[in-house]
Parts: sequence; C-alpha cells; structure tokens
Amino acid sequence: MSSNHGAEAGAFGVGATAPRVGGLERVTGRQEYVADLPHGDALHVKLVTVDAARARVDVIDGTRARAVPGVHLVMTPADLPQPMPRFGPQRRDRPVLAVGETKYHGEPVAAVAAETPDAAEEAARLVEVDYEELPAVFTIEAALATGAPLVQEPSLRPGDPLATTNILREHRYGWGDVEAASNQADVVIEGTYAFPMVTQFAIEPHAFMAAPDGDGIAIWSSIQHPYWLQRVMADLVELPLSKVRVFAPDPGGAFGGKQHAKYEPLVAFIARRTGRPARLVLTLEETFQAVRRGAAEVRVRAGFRSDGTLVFRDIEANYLIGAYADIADRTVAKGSYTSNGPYRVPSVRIVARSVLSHTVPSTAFRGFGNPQQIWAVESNMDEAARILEIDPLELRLRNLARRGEAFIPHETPADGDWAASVSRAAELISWGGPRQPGRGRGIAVGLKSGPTTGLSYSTVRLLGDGSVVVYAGTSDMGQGARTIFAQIAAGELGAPLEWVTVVMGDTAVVPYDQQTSASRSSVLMGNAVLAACRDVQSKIRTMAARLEGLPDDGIMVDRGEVRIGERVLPIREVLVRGLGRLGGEVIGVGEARKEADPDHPLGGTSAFYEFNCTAVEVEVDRDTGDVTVTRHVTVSDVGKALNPLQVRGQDEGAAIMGLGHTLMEHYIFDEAGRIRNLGAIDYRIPTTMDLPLRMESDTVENEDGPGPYGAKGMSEGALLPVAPAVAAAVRDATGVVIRDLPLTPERVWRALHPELTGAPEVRQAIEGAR
Amino acid sequence: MPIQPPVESPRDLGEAYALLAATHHRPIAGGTDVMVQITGEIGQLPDRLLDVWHLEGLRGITVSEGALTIGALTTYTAMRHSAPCREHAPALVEAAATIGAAQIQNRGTIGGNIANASPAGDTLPVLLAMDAEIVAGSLRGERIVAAADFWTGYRRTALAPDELVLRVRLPIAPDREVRFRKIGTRRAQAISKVVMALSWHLRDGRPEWRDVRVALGSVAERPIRVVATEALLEGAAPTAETAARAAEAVAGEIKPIDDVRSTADYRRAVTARVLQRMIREAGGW
Ligand SMILES: Cc1cc2nc3c(=O)[nH]c(=O)nc-3n(C[C@H](O)[C@H](O)[C@H](O)COP(=O)(O)OP(=O)(O)OC[C@H]3O[C@@H](n4cnc5c(N)ncnc54)[C@H](O)[C@@H]3O)c2cc1C
Repeated sequence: MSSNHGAEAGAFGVGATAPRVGGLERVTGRQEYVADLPHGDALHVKLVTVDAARARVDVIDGTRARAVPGVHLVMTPADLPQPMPRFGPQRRDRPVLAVGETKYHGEPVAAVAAETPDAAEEAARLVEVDYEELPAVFTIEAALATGAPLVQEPSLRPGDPLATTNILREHRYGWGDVEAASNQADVVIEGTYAFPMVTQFAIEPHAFMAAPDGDGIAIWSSIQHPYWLQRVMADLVELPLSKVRVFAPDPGGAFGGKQHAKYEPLVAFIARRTGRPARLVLTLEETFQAVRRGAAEVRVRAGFRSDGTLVFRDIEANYLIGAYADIADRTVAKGSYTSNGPYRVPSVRIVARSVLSHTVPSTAFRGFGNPQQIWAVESNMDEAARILEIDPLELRLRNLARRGEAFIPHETPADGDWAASVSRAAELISWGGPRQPGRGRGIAVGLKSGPTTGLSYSTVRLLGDGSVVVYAGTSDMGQGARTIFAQIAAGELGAPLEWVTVVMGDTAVVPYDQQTSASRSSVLMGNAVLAACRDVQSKIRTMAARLEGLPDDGIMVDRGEVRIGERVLPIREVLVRGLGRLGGEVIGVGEARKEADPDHPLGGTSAFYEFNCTAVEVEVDRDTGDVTVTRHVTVSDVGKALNPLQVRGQDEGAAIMGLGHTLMEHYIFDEAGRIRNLGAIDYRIPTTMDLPLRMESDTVENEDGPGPYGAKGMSEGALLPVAPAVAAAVRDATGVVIRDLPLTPERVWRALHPELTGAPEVRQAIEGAR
Repeated sequence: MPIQPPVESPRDLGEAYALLAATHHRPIAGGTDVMVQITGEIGQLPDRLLDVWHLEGLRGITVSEGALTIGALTTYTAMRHSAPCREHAPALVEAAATIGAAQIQNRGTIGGNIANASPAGDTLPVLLAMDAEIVAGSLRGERIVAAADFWTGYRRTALAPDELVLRVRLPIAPDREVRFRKIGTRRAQAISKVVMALSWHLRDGRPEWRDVRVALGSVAERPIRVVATEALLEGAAPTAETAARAAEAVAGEIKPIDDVRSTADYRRAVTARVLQRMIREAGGW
C-alpha cells in the first residue's frame, strides 16, 4: 500500500470513511490491553471484601493468608499512611482501603499481593475479617428519611451545612417565575419518573498496575484521563508530576466508568511497599462493584397553554449516588442544568440533589447525568401531548428553540437547526403513516451540553520522508479518536493515512490533555492537532519561500499542498528539498482551550450541544409484556461527520446502549444491600438478538460546530432520548403509561394487567390550573 | 481460585464404565455447565472429572425401529443441521436454536442438558412432551428410563453415580404435533423464565386431541408435566373454550417461585397465556 503514497495522499482525509486505526488489532485479539501487558515479576493483587454493605470492621487477621506460599503482603489499613490517604475528583472522600467501616457491598477492607493470581485469590479468602453489619440506606427514600444512618461522617465535610444529612449537594437552577407562570397554564402535567441503577459494562474489565520507576513511579491503567490520574497519584505519593509516569493503553470500552482513579492508589502503595510491580485486574463482578450510573427519581410539573406552548417547567430530581462522590455530583449538576431540554420555556425551576447511599459509588456514564432527567421530561411531554390532543411531534416542534436563541439565559445559545433533526427522524419513521395493529410509535429528543472547560495540546512531527507522528493525550477507548486525528493530519500534511502514527497514552512523552470525556476529543484535541498541523504548514511555507526566493505571503499551504503562484506542489516535495542533506523533520505544536467562566454555575458555558432525535416503533406482546423494537431511527446534529462510518457506529452503539437501561438493565439488591444480579448471567445487556428489527441512523451536518471543519462532539446524543421514545411507543401501542425503567416484560405485563396483580403501575395526576 | 480436579479421558465406553465403577467421577461433555459450576463455585464441586468427549459411541443421530435416536454427545449445532432431527423433531431443533448462542451450541450437548437436570433446561420439556426414552449405561449394562421418570427433584436424576447417559430415543409418530415456546430474560444467552412444550395426536382425521402432553420448565424444581391440565385436554378439540379452560387449569396446577429472574405471578400468568395461545394457533382461530 505504501509504495505509491502520492496517489493515496488525502484519500482518507476528513469527511471520508477511513478504516479504523487499530480496528483490526481490536477485533482479532492482538491489541494489548493493560491486562495483556507483559508483567514479568509483578505481584498479583486481590481485593478482600466482606459479605455486607455497611459493616463495622473490628479485626482483620492476615495470619492464615500470609501462610499461603507466594504471598508477599496482606495490606490492611494499618499498613497505609495515617491518616488514611483519600482521593476523588470532586471531594477527597474515598479511602484507599475502607477505614473502620465499609460503605458499600464490594468495598475492599484489605488486599493481598502474591506471586500468582491463584495464590492471591486463595489468600484473600483466608484473610479473616470480624465485622458487624450496621444499618444502611440503599434507596432515595431511606437515605432522605429523618434519622437515616449517615453515609459519610460529618467530620469529612467540615463547614458543610448539609453534613448531617445524606444530601451531598443540592443544585438550584432556573429563570423566570414558576409560581406566577402557574396561573398562565391551561393544563399542568405532573409525574414522577424513575431511572434504574445500571453499570457501564465495558468489555475490558478495569486493570491497574504500578511499578517503582527509578526515583519515581509508573502506573498503567485503562483510564480515560491519564493526566488527571497523574495529578492524583503525584499528590498521594508526594512526588512531582515529572516522577509519576502514567501509561494508558487504549481501553477496551470505558463509557465514563474509566474516567477517574479507582484502584491505582492501592496498587501504587503496594508497589512502593514491596518494591515490586503490582497488578490488579478486576473480574466482571468486581466492575459492577466499582462503577455504575446514578439512579434517579425525577418529578416534573409542566404547564402548557391549550395550543401546546410551554409556559413553565418545575423539575425536582433526586439522584441516588453511592457512598463516595467520585464525579457523581458533577453528573447531577450537568444533567440538571440543561434538563429543561432544547425548549423555549419562560419560567423554569430545577432542583437536584446528590443523595449519598450505601451503594457502589456512581460515576460518569455516557450521557453524564442527562438520561435520567431526559427520561422524565420527555415522558412528561408525551403525556402532555396525549392530554392536550396534540401530536407529540408537533408539540416538540412548537416549543423547540431556534438557532441562536438563548434558551438557557447566559448560556451558549442554540447552536444548531434542531428542528431539522426532528423532522428528519419523523420522516424516516413515516411518523404520520399507517401503523400495523398492535404496534405503536414514539418520538423524543435529547440535549446535552458539551465540555464547559477544556485544554488540549498536541505535537505533530512531519518526518523527513513525509510521514507523520501525531502526539495526542486522548484515550482511544473504542470511539475512534486515533482515526480522526490521523485523518486530520493526513489531510493537512498530504500523507497517506497509513503513514500517520498517533502516539497516545504516556504522560512522559505525550503533551497534556485535560480529559477524554463529554464527547470532546474530536473538537478540542482535534483542534489542537489541526493547530499543530497548521504550525507545520507555516514552517513549510517559510521553507518554500526560502527555496523559491519569494516572500512568505506569495505562498499558501493547505490540505497537503503548497501553492506557489500557479504551481501546486505536494508538501513532501518541498519538505525533502527544504530539509536538505542533514534531513531532520518539521515540528509543530498546537493548543486548544475552552476557557473557564468562574461565575457560571457549571464553571463555564457549553462548548457545543449534542442534540439527538430518536423515533421508534414497537410491538408489544400483551400476553408476556415483551417489547420488540421493530424500528429505531436516530438522528444527531453533528456539525460535520469527520468520519461518517464512525459517526454511525457511535450513534448506533449509543442507541443500543440506551435500549439496555430502557428494556432490561438494572441492579437488583437484597435487603442487606448486596447486588443479587452481580455478573453477566442475571444482569442483562442487549445482545445482537435484542437489536431493533430495523435500525437507521442519520445526521444533520451544517458545519456549525466549534471543532475542525465545523464538527461538533458526538457519541452520547443517541443514547439520551431512547427510553422516553420507547415508552411513548409502548403507550401508543397499548394505552398504558409506565414511569419506571426498565420496561421489562414483567413490568409491562403488570401495567397491562393491573387486575391480575392488584398493583397498577399507571399513576396519573393531571391537574387543570384553571 | 477455581478447583482443578484431575481429569480422565477414556477412549472407549468399557474404560469409562470401569473408571466410574471404581471411584466417583463427574462426567464432563461440552463442559458448558460443569465449567460454569467450577469457576462460579456452584453446588457440589467435582473431585474428579471424566471427559466423555472421545466416546464415539455417544455420538450419532439415527432413525430406526420407529424412533429417532440422538447420541448423548450430540451438540445443538449438530441437531440444528441434522435432516432427521429437523424432520422428526422440529420442536427439539427449535429448542436447540434458542440455547445460548453459537459458541454454546457448538459445544453444549443434549446429554449434558439431560444429566445437568436444571429446571430451566430448554430441551427437557420437549423430551417430556415427546415421550422420550433416555438410555443409560454402566458396567451392569444398559437400561431405559422414560423421560417422565428421569428428573426426580431439584437437579436430581434417576441416574446411578456410575451411569452415563448414552442416547435419547424419540418415538416417531407421524400424527403427532409438538410445539415449543421459551420466554427468556432476553432473546439470546437467556435463562428461561418459562419454557413450554405441548404435544398431541390426531386420530382418524378427527379434531379431538389424544395423548396430550403439556411439559414445562422453570416453573417447578424440575421439568414437569402438568397431568391435570393434560387430562382436561385429552379428547378435547382446540376450541376457544378448551384453551381458556386449559389456561385456567395450568395456572392452578403449577407452583412457581419468585427469584431474581421473575416472579411466581408472572410465571403463572404467562404459562397460562402461552398455553392458551398455542392451543389457539393449533385451532387456527
Ligand atoms: C453462556 C451459556 C448459555 C447457556 N444457555 C442455555 C440455554 O439457553 N438453555 C439451556 O437449556 N442451557 C443453557 N446453558 C447450559 C448448557 O449449555 C446446557 O445445559 C448444555 O446442554 C450442557 O451440555 P454440556 O455438554 O456442555 O454439559 P456439561 O457441562 O459437560 O455437563 C453437564 C452435566 O451433565 C453431566 N453429563 C454430561 N454428559 C453426560 C453423560 N453423557 N452422561 C452422564 N452425565 C453427563 C455432567 O456430569 C454435568 O453434571 C448455557 C450455558 C452457558 C455457559
């Protein structure tokens, strides 16, 4: 392929479906994930847990465990610095090992390090832990009850007026006057909607390794934010950043669950104590006890005029976060700030609480706090449409903000032609067309704000033969970031795609990137890579000017070409001549920032919005409650599809992931707070057999985004409105409104047959305000 | 750390019988149940394994003496591809197609499903509905156990500790109809919430059903036939009234439980509806 690279150059520039960089390695099992790295003399770590959620830990006796051949260390809290080091992206509340008391089922009280995984596992079982189960809270209701046991000691929350409650934080947003607006509404629709606890279920389980590295430490982690981890680790082990080297091999799926430190601190302390590398690979079951999405109960009151115009919305959301904050409270804030959606509403009040509980700490998960409230608000819209006797599509179009409209005061105005996505989805599903008996259709929209701050650097080296090395600190966890950056560099510098190498995942080599989240990397790191390419281009221009004896401004360099008057030369030709006998290379650097705004409730305005419209058709089996999605249409406003096939992959993947929490996924707890469906047998994610019978995805591309060539971030949008669209379709097919997820066959069946179970699911409260 | 029991791999049946007679061994065929039990530490763990995979006498699908005979080591994939199975036991092929996914179907065997005796074993109601005979063998010789007598309790069978399942015999009855339906927790890789097989004979072109069998999985501690419901259907024609009465009868006859996959209520109601629907489809109304 590489022989005639001139002909290939630019063939897979932006806008083309370039083959996935690293894709073949992933699907053939050749890619090395953290667990696959050669680990030579590493010790294997196993977590020690107790069979309870909240328990007072009295004695940890490692005598029998230490007797297992090959065991090097039974690490208990007493072996760690005192007071116990704590960490966390929002609050430093998570201890390296539980201190005195476990806060959730699965929290480690000790850890064993041994020569083999088997020895570690056997020894972990032999660690004797005396503990006593303590009263605990696993639901929003229990956590908020007066006299509820506190999840976090008030001493950990000095100066916090909520310290003696289980509310970690309360967020209040809004504008206008909801009370006054109540009088202007012809109809008020109210409902409470529940969203389940679900887990990210990345196919690669989390894996961690740490090793002494000269006078510093090296960490390997399947992490989305290597530079953030570097800071956390530097702090914990008291080393300068330059002595903490984080390797972040491409994760095998992350979905938000791999953003922040989990067990890196533990393996680092073990490595420092033993002087040996230490590695920990979680089992799938342990990942259920490490990461999940916050469950939520959301009450929505919305007032409409009889023509469907929204006059106010009043939203109260309680999120059941876990025992430690992780990034959960930020998901609550971000998910709430935009929870009124893409609508023009004069008066809005949003109150959202992060409620601590004795459950697995929740964290970021594709959609970042938004799907919970979109489920509520969009379901409420569907109920309003039915009561107002207005077509649900019409109701959306009537209230949707137009481009440029400040639909949230002091925030980035509507940055797209959102009605175009809605109309396209309606067209694809033949919204107004005839339905087969027993089938129903539903439509919903989702809006999510992109990053509120950001900082990415990139270095691009144009090597002596015209090939390119791009340094980008993004983590490619399957979203295809390597491909996008390679496409940008290939297109700008005139190299064939396979002549571009993208280097990621090593904080000692690759310049800083804030994080891989919020669908930011194509925009922020993409802009940084583009800027670095432009820097290279300007040096090529100077080179060409020197060679031609012309002033710089007579020469243009763009998209792989050098234009000198009428003449057009490939960059490579100028490069080779310009570098001369010594050879060498041309180095460019680029930077992209999204500045913070300290007065903004989220710390900054949204860099862009992800907007999606989803329309589905379902068939409901009245005898079993089984819901078959016969058609699923998803349309995202992406600004510009840098790689159309990857965009489609992300949209369809997000849509299917959304079907998981819509139809089947949820943690089930026993009375003691233990997860009953821990693992793949009884926690169901959709398989290929569960996919919609037909799925179509489309995009709206107006090149109106802040990213390279007008791109917006994308990859979460298509998940946002799946649940309300499906529930609306079930309502359309059966007449039954269900306000709790997931729509398992059994739940649908119960709703369809309230007479059989005596527990009607259909709760309706319609209140005429006049 | 999963246990690592020693494994014997006999090359012929005589050797296998001798090993089983000498000490207790847990047979392992495809291993799709055994390995899950070992790594998940579920139930009584085996001290020794007897790998039966090389016993060619346990393979093969034949039609003779009025019966379809399927060797214990026959995989689901083999059944799905077998013309005699498709012709004489389409409901069994249908059940095979719902088991796990391709990897499990390539490895899992019918003998394993039978001996594993899970109440959710998907082929078992079909075997009950087809009056299957399970042929067991040991040093003492071969014997036949009717499917109806085979599953005796929760994960218990009529097999002696030293016996192997050799094959299963399904009588071929041209006038018999068999239907299968599985309600799982999702559409693939799913453990059944309810699984049902229904069979009947038509005699002399008359609409009344004879020799009716209604067999169920996942609604009791073992796969069962609901004999009272069968009695009600015996000699009846598949009318709306019959279907309604049968639905009511089966709901009263079974005593399912609540578990993490489903509730008793749901299992009972869905079993009734599934039976009613099968009768309706058979009646063509
Ligand atoms: C991912 C997955 C999905 C699955 N899905 C389904 C499903 O949808 N429906 C379903 O019914 N099952 C399912 N199973 C269970 C399993 O695949 C089946 O029960 C299969 O038929 C077992 O066959 P095997 O050959 O693998 O049995 P093994 O695991 O080898 O053995 C199972 C049991 O039978 C005994 N045994 C095996 N062969 C003999 C013999 N010839 N004589 C005496 N005893 C014997 C063993 O000692 C053991 O106790 C699933 C399993 C997995 C792992």
